[in-house]
Amino acid sequence: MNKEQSVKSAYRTATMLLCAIALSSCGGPEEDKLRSVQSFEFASCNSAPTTDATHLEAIKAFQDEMHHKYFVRRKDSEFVANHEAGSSASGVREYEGPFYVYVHPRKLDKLEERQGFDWAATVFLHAAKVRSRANGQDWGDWNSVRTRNFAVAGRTVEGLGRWKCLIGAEIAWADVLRENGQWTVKPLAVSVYESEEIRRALPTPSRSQIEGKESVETL
Amino acid sequence: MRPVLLVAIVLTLVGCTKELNEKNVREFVDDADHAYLAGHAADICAMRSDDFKFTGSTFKLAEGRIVNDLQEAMRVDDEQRGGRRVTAQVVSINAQDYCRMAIEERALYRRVSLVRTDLQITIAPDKKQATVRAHYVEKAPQYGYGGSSLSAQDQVEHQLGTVQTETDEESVVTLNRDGKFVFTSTHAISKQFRVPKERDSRL
Repeated sequence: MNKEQSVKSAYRTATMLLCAIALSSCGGPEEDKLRSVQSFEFASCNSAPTTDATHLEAIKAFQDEMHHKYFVRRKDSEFVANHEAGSSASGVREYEGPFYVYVHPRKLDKLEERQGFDWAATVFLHAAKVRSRANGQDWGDWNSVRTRNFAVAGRTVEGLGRWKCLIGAEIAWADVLRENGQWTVKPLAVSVYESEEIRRALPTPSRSQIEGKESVETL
Repeated sequence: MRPVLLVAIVLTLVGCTKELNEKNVREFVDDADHAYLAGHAADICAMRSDDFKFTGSTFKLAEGRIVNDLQEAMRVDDEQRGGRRVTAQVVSINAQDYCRMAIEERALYRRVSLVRTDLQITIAPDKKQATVRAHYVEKAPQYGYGGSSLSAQDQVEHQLGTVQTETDEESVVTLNRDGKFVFTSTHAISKQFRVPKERDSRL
């Protein structure tokens, strides 16, 4: 290899390396981490990456009916609309990852058994940080999301909860049930909203609303 | 005289001659508000003297109704009472109980919003004491708890509403033995009513 060939080869290698770096940094948003909760006792709480086929199907049902329906993904953030009664209270919430989806398999209750369901879980979407922006205002400070479900001794406490096996805190959850291979998702909470108030998260925020160029509608 | 000794004497003299003025008292009140909102129980305690006394009277207005502001709360309350006298819940707390309350309630302090709409500081002629009069508008969530389908030891928190408390406070600020600012007393008169639900910034 003469000197000119050697320089060309080094140039090609450097170019390929730069392309690889550029491609990896320009990739899509980081994928959600899927976890199955294996033990729920506080002392022995444990979760592991989900491999069980039923759990994966339950997660897919949850993602379709909850995550993709109510949240808008931009880069590595999830955005939710807050359609409140007044314009000054309405706005947008931004959640920062890492995002974890936790499957908590549970026993069917008697009503669910009578309805013919044969498998049940409560599935939770967790995030690390949250900030909000009311219409016409600037973004507020980033805060750690706090738990409403996984308390200690009946009290919700920031920074504690099931710290050994759950990362972040829940921003949406739903009962996910199976009946003869068909999946039913019953939303329980989305962002700040629970039960009948979940409708306040729809429609999802537009690009202009996320960027603060347009107000979020009242409801 | 050795320089180290000289510096020590100067620092001691500076400590002895520390005086209260409007600026440093205002900063102290700002710090106290911040400690409350951040739920820093140790700071909340350290900012009270050993003989600190809190007395508070709370008037509950427009009970059973959701109103938009204090004016509406007072108007609705007048209509509900039809001329009957308003009664207040009165509490009196010493420094120890105030600290215990801060430790127990610190997580809830982080969930309130607090706006100070007025602050008047009067410095005593000897500059050793200040009287601070302030008006605060605080919004705090009210919670209910339901059972969890996952575990008997857990409960699911539900926000039921938001309570707004408008408080006129009069506090006395002095310097303690270490030359640090402390509240020696706070007297508060509050009007409390329910307002449209305000969402938690941590959810």
